[in-house]
Amino acid sequence: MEWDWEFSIQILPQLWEGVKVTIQATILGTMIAMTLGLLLAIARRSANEWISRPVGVFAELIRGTPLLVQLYFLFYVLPDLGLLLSPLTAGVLGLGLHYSTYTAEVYRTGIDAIPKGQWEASKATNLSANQTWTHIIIPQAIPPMIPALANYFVAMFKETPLLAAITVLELMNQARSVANYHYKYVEPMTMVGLFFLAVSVPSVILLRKLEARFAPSNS
Amino acid sequence: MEQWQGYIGLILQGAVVTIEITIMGCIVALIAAFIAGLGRLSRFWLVRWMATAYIEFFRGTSIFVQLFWAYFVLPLLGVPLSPLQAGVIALGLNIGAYGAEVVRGAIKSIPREQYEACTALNLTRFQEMRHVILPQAVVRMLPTFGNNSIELLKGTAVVSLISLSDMTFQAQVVRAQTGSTAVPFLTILLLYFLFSSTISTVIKRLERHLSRGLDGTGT
Amino acid sequence: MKKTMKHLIVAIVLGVSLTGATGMPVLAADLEQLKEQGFARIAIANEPPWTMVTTGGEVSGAAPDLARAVLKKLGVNDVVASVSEYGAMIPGVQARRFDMVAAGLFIKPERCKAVLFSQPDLCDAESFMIKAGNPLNLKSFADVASSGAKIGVVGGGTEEKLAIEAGVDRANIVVVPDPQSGAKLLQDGRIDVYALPVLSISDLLKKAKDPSLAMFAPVENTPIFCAGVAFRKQDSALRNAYDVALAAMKASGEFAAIVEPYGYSADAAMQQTRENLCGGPN
Repeated sequence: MEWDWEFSIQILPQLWEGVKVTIQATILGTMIAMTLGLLLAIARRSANEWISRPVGVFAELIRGTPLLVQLYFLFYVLPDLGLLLSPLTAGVLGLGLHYSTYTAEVYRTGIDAIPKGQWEASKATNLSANQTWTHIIIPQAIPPMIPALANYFVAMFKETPLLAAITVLELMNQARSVANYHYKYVEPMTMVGLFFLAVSVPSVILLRKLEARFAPSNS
Repeated sequence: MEQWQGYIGLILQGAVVTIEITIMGCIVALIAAFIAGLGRLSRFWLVRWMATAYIEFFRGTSIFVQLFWAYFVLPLLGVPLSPLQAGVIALGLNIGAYGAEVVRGAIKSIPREQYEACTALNLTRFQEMRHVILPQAVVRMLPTFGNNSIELLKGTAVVSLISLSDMTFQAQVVRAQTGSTAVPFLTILLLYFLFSSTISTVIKRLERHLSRGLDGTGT
Repeated sequence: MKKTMKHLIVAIVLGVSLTGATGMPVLAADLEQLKEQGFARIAIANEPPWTMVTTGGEVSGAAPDLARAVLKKLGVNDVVASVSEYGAMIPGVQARRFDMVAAGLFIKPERCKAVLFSQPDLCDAESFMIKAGNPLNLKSFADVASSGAKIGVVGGGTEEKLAIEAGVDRANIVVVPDPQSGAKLLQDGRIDVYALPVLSISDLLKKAKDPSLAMFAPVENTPIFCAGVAFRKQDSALRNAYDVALAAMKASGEFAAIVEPYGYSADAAMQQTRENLCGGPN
């Protein structure tokens, strides 16, 4: 099987358009996953069972079912309920929502690792719940969690091809479009694979560096 | 009304395929995880390097990309794969790469005294692994293996995109025949959730069973 | 632990052999081998009435039904169908993933360069699915280009090329995963027009039962396309045998009996030739 170099170069511009969308989707999705995950983690710790239980069940449902099906839901079913989201919006929301359930677990572990003494001291010094969270708990909980959170950032980046199923023109979709048009699959598919590898392998090295810097000494 | 029975039947057929792929994929993943995980601990530099290359390659790209490559490109390179084979192999090797790290981590977490005791008792390296190290390590691997199996289950949804008649694919078929999107998708969401919860329960039971007689799971 | 190990080993062996046993694709598409095997592997899409997968999982539609009948005449009793994207069909048959494509793949010059086609069997004009009343007054692909409308097309289909050739901006071409999704995208207003052959749009409209959707046909300045069964370049003996049986069925009236109930014109197919559509011999 020969590799057509001319063809590969010819399709680069179209693939590049896809890369831009992939990066966009990853960054937006990460922003949602990071913030929503924190909110979920805090909600699950709520003393109020009417909050913690439903949130818990909802998170489990999202974590235990495929992202692909969730994306179909957001894209095809929501309009029937009156909410029409653009493909990218639906994709970013689906990605962010799905991964927020994972980041929530990371936050939970980090928050749980805060010694009880910190909570008690906050109470003793009359800090409000808000102040406790923003000044005491979160600043201590987050640094050790950074490697795990960064890991999910990379994971989300690799999952962006799923957005092709709801017509988002990210890299994989562009590659398929090119392949379908020219009846040539080898070059586009391999280039997509190489691109993802080219981003993941350096990020693994970066992640290891992050771990070395931020992970607690008892790991 | 009997129409709906036919459609539920289709989805259940898809569920059977989903379960089949999950089980076969898990078997491939298990084999790959052990080979690669143990490979990374090998004394031979070449074996270590090959294991690392496999792990980073499959963790570096998403299941979607690997699946498409296996299904569309491999046949053109002379390796024809049916959708089922492509699905099981891609999923198995992908999850296996994550599992390999778990295997390696669990084996490394066995305290030194165990190894020293084996040397003292004059056990061969094989006996050491088979009777002392692995039984303890496997118990530690179980929780993460459980999560990995759930990831594999969720990953099977992607095979619908190469027209393999899994649950997600059949939901699309029902959707095409009935025009209703919400009902088939809600149904499979619930089924996926049911399956992932079942896996969690089975893993927990297995963990309990296998740690009998062991000196606690020793964190 | 010993018992678990034994069970694990058995499971592994079973698993591996199951994976191997689940149909290694047959490597040759020689008629004798197909007859021996008892079935031919065909590629289909899921676009009624050309091809469809029914509730019970049965494969039907004009193209598979016709292929089944012709193959029976050749002594191959059954077909095993796998659903594929149109764009994947040619690479698929080239890679011996299927023995032939029986999905209503239109005969076009660039495709004739890649595969061998049978004589034409299913012909149809192109149509647009639009909102009732055709608010953007879209009558041709050029209209779509000039109005800046968003058009939905199936991946690897003829309509995509027609749209691009007419000058539709690539950003306005939405590749739809499957025909049903296309109708939904139009309903939701994500696209303004959906292009597919006349019979496909008719079928979608029938199933959708939505008065806000309508069809405009035939699309202006667009030829009537005819489909044929596609074979690998190397399988000329198979293709020629197929043609002989197909011609016999056209003469005897069996051909018309199969395709007309689906809405196709048998005459249109019988009056066209592959050489005409390919722009040369094939």
